[in-house]
Amino acid sequence: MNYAANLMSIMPVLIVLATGMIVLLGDACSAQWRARRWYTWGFSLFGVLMALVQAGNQLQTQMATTFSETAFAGSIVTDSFTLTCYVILLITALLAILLAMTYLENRNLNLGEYYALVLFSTAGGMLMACSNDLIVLFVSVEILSVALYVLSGFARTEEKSEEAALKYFLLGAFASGFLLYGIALVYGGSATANHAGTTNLADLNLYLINDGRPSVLLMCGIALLFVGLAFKAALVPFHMWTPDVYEGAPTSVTAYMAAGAKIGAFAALMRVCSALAPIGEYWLPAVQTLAVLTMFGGNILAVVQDNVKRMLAYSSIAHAGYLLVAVSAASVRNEQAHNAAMGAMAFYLMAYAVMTMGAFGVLIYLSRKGRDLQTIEDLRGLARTDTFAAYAMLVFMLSLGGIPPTMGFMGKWFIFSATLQAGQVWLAIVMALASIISIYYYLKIVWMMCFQEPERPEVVEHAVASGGVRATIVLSLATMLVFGILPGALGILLNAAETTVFRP
Amino acid sequence: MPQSPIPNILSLLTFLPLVGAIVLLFLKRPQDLPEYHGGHAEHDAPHAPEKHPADPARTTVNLVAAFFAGMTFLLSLVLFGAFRSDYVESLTRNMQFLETANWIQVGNITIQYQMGVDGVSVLLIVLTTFLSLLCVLYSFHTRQRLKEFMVFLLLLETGMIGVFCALDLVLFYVFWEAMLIPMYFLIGIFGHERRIYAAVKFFLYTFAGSILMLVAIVWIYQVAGTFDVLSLSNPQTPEGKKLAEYGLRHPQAMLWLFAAFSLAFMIKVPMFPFHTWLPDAHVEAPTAGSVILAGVLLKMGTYGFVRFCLPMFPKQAEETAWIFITLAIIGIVYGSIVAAVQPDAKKLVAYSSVAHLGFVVLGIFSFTQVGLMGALIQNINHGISTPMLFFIVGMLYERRHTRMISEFGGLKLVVPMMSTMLLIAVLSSIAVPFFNGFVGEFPILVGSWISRKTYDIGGYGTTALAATGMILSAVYMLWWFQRLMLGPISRPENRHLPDLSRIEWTVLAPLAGLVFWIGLGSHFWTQRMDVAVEMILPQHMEAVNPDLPIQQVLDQQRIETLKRRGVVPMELGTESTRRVPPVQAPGASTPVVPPGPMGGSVPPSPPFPGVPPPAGAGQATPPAPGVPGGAEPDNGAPPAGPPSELPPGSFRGAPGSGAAPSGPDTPVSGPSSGNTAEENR
Amino acid sequence: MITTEHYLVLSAILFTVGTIGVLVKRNPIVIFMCIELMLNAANLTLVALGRHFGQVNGQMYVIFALAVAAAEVSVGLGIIVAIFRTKETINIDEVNLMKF
Repeated sequence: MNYAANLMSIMPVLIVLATGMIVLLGDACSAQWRARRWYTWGFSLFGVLMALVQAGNQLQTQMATTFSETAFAGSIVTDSFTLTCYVILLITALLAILLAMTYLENRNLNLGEYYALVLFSTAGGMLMACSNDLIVLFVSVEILSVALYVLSGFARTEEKSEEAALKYFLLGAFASGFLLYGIALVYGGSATANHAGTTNLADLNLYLINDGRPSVLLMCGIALLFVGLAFKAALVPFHMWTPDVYEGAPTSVTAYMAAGAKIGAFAALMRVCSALAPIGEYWLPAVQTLAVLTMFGGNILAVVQDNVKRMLAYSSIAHAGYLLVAVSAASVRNEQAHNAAMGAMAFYLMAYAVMTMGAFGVLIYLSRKGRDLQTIEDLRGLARTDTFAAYAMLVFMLSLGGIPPTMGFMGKWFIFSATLQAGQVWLAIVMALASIISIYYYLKIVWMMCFQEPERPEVVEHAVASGGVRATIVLSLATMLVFGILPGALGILLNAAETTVFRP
Repeated sequence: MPQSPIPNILSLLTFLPLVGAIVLLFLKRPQDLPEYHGGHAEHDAPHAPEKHPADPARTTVNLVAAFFAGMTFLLSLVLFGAFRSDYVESLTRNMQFLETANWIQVGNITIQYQMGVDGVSVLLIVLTTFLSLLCVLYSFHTRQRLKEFMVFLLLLETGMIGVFCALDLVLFYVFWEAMLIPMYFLIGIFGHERRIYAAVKFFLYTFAGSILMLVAIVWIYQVAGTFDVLSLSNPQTPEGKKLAEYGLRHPQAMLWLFAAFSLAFMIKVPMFPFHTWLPDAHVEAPTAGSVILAGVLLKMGTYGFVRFCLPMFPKQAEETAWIFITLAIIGIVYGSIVAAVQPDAKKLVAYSSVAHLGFVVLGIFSFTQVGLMGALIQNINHGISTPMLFFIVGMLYERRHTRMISEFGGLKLVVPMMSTMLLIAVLSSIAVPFFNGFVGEFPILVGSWISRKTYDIGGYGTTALAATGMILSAVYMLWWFQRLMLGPISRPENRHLPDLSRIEWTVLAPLAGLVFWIGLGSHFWTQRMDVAVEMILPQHMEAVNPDLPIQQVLDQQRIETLKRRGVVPMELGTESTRRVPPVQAPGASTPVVPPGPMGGSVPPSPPFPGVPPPAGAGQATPPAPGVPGGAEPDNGAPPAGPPSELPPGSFRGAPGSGAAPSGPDTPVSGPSSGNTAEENR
Repeated sequence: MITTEHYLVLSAILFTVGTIGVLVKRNPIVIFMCIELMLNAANLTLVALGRHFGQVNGQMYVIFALAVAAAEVSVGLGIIVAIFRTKETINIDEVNLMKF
């Protein structure tokens, strides 16, 4: 296909990239631009909205025509799953930008590069969702990660933030090494006597269906590939970086990381696992083991935490476990289960992104000038001092725990449904049991906020009570409740698997 | 289907409290009054519930909350009045006021918003709205955070009514879980010292049970293709048939499904050994919270058994009935003994709940219609007597800020009205005749006595052991009453306690009135449950002990009742009976004999009196329908007057006491045993 | 003869050495050098396999990987410099404000 069509297929990514570059250049070159922070903020928002509109349009047409297209000689695929992930990532970026402004002002970090980095990171995530080639996957993983390395160290003068950046960088680069080597081995291992090796996921899928037993080289490659991706998705036992990085980074960065990086990572995992589904019996038990370890590990470790951000970090690890259950359910031969699982994962990604942004948004709302909200003790008696924040946090905690009538419950329900359809009953039961553990620490926050009396019954002045933060919280709240009661309205998400490229 | 005067009454009923809660959110927040740190400040000053300075915001909040609770109560009365006791429609399992709408439709999964009531739920809904109204009234003088209290009470009411109306598994689950949050808050914010521990324990325990139920619900969908409770409970619909066949092919898996559902309900009832959350939750909850918890939330467990476990998994329920009966009896005896040694009055009442609901579960799993009817009435009774007890304990706590029984004594001289009310509640709890407890417990014990299930466990001794529960409850209740109210006034602080105030009268008097109304005129209440009992436990599923001659008497009563309704009983032992003339949908008019859930062949329906069975094996074909039920020349038992007006469920002594001994040698054959006739002279 | 297998074995050895280096060393710059070693081992594999299949793909992928590695280096060294400015040390044992 011709050049223009190639570009059109990744138009949302290009819009975001262009916005990012304009923001970066404008901030670097023009003093006037630097002086008025609202330019940067507004322009980034505008760019994201444009991309969202474009992605939405494409999604509409995609659903109508029901076939997918590949671009750039087969290395990019635009199907409904891609466009769905675009939408989710762009909404996450939107919320992240909304949250950022006043928070950064208060910590004296309001630099234009922040928005550029967020946009680049989003673009990386979007590329991950549309990649049909392992090398494109690698490049997009790196785009996402490198931007996040810088973002996590954004508070340059604070030691914790720098330490977070260093840890993230070293461990992230380590994992990228595994990822690249894994890709190289897959390139070699997918070769047989009849054909050369390939890194193209669609071709790989075809080869795996037709060739017999995979070679040892291929299996090693797949294993290393999973290690690399598992690190990015923060699965146990590759999760060690998550609590430290989430705790050290500025809260708005943590919010974006918790949501956006996971969406990208799981989009990539879903692509890879769908492609490798024909040899599922070799790697599915490993993925399931990872899922169980992650769910239990994340939840159990969260129970003992005192610092709110660390606790939310561990809880996000647990949610990665639930998402991995959906990935495992999608990797079976049963087509109906595959579609249901992909739809469930898309819905849960949306729910997870919105509720994470909301929960961190409340934390931002509550932080004071120059200081973040750190421990759970700081939340004591919040229902008396700041009712709006307390009850908003309540809804987010309920949604994270999976209690009706919130979107989190609906998401868990869809995942249960898909897992049972795929015949992996034991995994569903394990997920149910892990959820019980998670309720404890979500309720702990709730009781600390609502049942305890505050230490000093003073009215806390909010340094960060800006419209943007409030807007984020209210939007997230509304989404949680509305789509918890009427998830059918997001049916387009749930049919995300309509036109995927791979057939298991 | 009978039309209610108000369309969509069930949705209105469910969501009106929610609307009220939202309205309350926008009202101005009343001033918090300081905590009452008294109790031992002035010994001789009157400790009245003080008059608060007039705060218009407080009045507004109170009135708005009472308005919504009152409107909901009135609506439920309308529902109660419009409910027809004799409506039968087997396709929709005799549910009235059905509302169906497509709620969620994704992929090929459809979850429907389906609400309906039958005899079991309508009484529970009236109880719920009534108790909620009383709680709202009683909570008028909450000192701190009044608005949140009312909001949570109304949210809780929405959840509770939704649970009783929901006829779709996922909808039921949503309401079931959604009801946990307001209760968690009520205990956690407004409770006593160890409230957080109690609230978290309550939540985690209940949630653990329900999440496994969720997995079971999704699994049922995989098997049967629907979440609709109506079709799943009816083995004649395609979905119900799929479920039944799945059960035959994979009995192990079906047992796990049944276990998942039962676990959730067992935790809620609560049954031994999952009852440990109850004493903590009750003790630490505020009074209104305890009342709602004991009065309504515990009923949801037994309701769940009756609505889901018995109809959807009849075979598994019947096979595992002995476990439930054993646990119920252990609960009765253990609950009573532990209650007797409690120093804390609220804990005493909490354990008494365990004991009372043990009776209810015993009645349900005795698999007799008598027992089931008694269990359903006892459900309601417990919802009246235990809230009354909690209210009174709460009133004493208001006055003296202690719940320890040793702190009181001789209060009858100081607060005679309250003492009278307490006596009524205590006697009702003990199940003394003329009070409502008797109307519940006695049929349960009769049902347990005649049941095959209890007989199989340990002969008649099992029921005898359960009956000792009545004695034990008398022990701890009367002893408590004595320590509390009788004797001399042992402590000087008790000398000047004020008697019942106006609000307290308003709250206690209706409950006392209901105690007597149910106790003396129970027919008014049970008549609505007949059809439901027949539906849940049709005659072919009953497990009556064939050694007893009771079957004949029960048959006869049934025939009388059916005659009275103008129905010609074609074949007893069938799921439905044909009306004359047939007006129902085709599904109802064919006297189909469903496959016996007790496995295997069609159960032989008991022959009519006067038709001796062939000697030898049980009949394979039902007797010729030509024998009308009315003419029973051989039956020496004349239909005695008063008993023939009774619904088949309630058993009031031997009818026509002279009749039975004059003994026709009519054969008795229980549906499951297929025995040859036993001749009882 | 030097066959493709030799190259693969060599890159495997390099990869292992790099991994051990990352795990053992305390200076972040040395750690990063070891990470680069790992990435280059992958590059070597890619080139060797490309040659083996007679395609140009392998070399193409290496170009991408090199570009990415370069970007990562710049960012990484920037982070390390920033830490050095505040702490006057970059021994990672001393960067331990946040623990379990």
